[in-house]
Amino acid sequence: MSLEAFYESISGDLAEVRSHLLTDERVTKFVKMFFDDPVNAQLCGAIENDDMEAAFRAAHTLKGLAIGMGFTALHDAACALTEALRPNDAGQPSEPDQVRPLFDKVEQEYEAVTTAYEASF
Amino acid sequence: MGTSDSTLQKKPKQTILVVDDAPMNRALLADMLGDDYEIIEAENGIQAVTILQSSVEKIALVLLDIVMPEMDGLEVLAMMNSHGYISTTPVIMVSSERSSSVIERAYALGATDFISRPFDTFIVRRRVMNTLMLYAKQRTLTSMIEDQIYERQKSVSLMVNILSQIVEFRNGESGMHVLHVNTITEKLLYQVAKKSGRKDLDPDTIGMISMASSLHDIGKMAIPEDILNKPGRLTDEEFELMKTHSAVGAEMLASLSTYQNDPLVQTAYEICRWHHERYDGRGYPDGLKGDEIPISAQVVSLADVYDALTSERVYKKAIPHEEALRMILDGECGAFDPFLLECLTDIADEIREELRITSTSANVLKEASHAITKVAMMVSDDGELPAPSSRTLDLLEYERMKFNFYAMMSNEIQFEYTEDPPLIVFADYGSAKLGLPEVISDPYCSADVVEMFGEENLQRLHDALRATTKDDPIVQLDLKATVKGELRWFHVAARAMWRETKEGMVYHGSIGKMVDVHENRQRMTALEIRATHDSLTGLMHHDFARKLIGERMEERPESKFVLMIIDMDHFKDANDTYGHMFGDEVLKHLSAKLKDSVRDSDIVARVGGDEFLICMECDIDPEPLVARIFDFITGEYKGFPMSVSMGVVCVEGGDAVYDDVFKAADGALYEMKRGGRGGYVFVGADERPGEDFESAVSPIDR
Repeated sequence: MSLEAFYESISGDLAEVRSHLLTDERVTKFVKMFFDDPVNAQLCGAIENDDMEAAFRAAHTLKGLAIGMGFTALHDAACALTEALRPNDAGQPSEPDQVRPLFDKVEQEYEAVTTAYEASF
Repeated sequence: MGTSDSTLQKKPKQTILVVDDAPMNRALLADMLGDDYEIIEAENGIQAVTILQSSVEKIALVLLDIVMPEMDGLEVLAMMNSHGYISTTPVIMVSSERSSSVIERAYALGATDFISRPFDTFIVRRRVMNTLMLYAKQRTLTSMIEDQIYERQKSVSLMVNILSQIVEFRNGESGMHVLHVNTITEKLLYQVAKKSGRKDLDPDTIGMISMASSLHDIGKMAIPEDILNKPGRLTDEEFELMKTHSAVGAEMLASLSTYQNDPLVQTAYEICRWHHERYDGRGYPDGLKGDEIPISAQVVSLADVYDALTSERVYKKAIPHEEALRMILDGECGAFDPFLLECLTDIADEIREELRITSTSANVLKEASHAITKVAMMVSDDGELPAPSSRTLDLLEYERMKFNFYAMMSNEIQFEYTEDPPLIVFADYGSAKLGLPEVISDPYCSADVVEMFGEENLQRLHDALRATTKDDPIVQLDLKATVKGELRWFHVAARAMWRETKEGMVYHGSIGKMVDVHENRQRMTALEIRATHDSLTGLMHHDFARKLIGERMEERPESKFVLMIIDMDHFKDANDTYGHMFGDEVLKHLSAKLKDSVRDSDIVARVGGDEFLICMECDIDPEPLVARIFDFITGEYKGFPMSVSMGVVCVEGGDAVYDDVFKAADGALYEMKRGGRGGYVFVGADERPGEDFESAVSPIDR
């Protein structure tokens, strides 16, 4: 039940997060909030409904939240997915073929941190 | 006698608007900013825009995300630009966007700063604080400058006013003369500048000339009082003495030590010396001609004459404005440049109105405002319309409070529409009454809105508003809308908002209200019906029928019309034998049968106690028709025999004069009654009743 253990298990950057948020109390509070945030559900829903625009927004948001909490691996995966989904001039994803595999990677990482979270807290 | 903590003044917290679609991001930012600020949140662009529109003056700073549903951050920036909020309200973008084109665009739209993710507490707090301080300084500076200018202007004006009041006091004038001349001079100069396009009459110069005009009669101080205030005509000698006031006044000004360097004094000199010169060269003291006379003196001269004519003096009464204008244009009061006279005519109405309401303090403010605007523009970054000072923002908040209060009290559906971005905002009460959300983006394309009002009504409103002009911006119309399943009548009153831009007048949006008038309309129609119909039988009154028949015949002069007057036989018996209530029943029964026997469009009226009228268009032989009707209404009702006598006339619409037709039918009816009742008689329209004619229709009802 410690922050250190949790961040260790996911190779996250606790030091960075501490420097931004200042207190462990805050870090804990926002880690919890991260897992209550509906953004991942929104991402999955959007992908399922083939709504690429909503998926782009969700991936973009997820990437921001991940880096804010120092979840490095998740952030990197979300970044890649965001770029693949980024609408080109025609409003379509820039790399439509990459979407599925990158999305799967994101879900994998999200699973990983969720499991670690549930184990540590 | 001690003071408690609660009486200590606490600086009010500034309000920050945080716009981000992820609740966690909003929570992070709010947390980092801590207790020093009041935080308002919005989860997308539309909410942000709504909050800004209703309370921009309360918001000290906006933290704005870019990627959001409904309306993104760049669109919010664009809207803040078009509403002028961007110059008062700093915006810090809080996006994880790295794309340089997006970042550039945000800056181009007026974003003050960028904070990138991950958010760092120190950085967020610092940036916010610095930005707020910077904007606060700017606002304070502008305020200070405005105050300074205003105060200085006030002092100068005050001095000038005091001096001229003293002069006027001695003349026995009201004190308004100087003010009037000031006002008229200024307005005339603006018109001259506008109409001639000359560059030397800029607002600063015009302001200076108007102020200098206050001293035009200063030379009168040297004139003995008994001449100044003589009620009768002046002798030639006295008049010559009077004329010296222009030269004497000018000398006074020239002898001032500041004269050499001060354009105001120099202008005052010109005006003073030459305001009695004439365009044709026959004025005094120097006999200057045409454009040798400086424009300042020419204009003040005209203003002076105009005010002298239209005001009360010791030696004359006030002359009405139209008359004064005529006299001047006819050359009865001096010679002026015809162009100047044109300008005077152009603005004559404006002058008359302005003189009615002129006051001293308004003048000061007007003079100060030119200078204030100029300096404020210099202080703002881009030389564009200045950021409002805190005084202005206070005013804005006050006005808004008033508006919201009245809106709440009025029970009307109030709305505000902007064109760019297309958005309609309803006040609380309105949105609840209509069952629509408070904010609707792109309302003309919203399914809910279209279903409620219908495409046609929306088009009507759309076109009417855009067809208005700045000077005539109000639109009023009635329409039917389906609200909560019910079709109801509404009265819509709206005011178009026009904005002046470099490209000309642009339609900016509108404000307005909708009032439910459904009950009123229905009541009106019900009242109308009551007024024109008989309450017992539901048939028309004779007057109304006459009117309708007249109209029909006029509309269709080639058609043939049949007019029948129907009289119940032995009706008195019904009342006597069975009572009045039964009598009423019989009448109602007959009326119903009469209506049934004809078409809905035919006219059936009750023209007497038991007399009725039918009028119908009939281009075929009317006899079978009349026979059918007669048979239909003859019979019996609850044991009472229903027998009628009818007089029938046929005419062509074009030939008919109603009263004659009626008389003819009446005569026929009489024949029938006399001849035994229970039948009908045809007559031609031109048949006139015989000498022993008595109308079968009782006198009151004829």
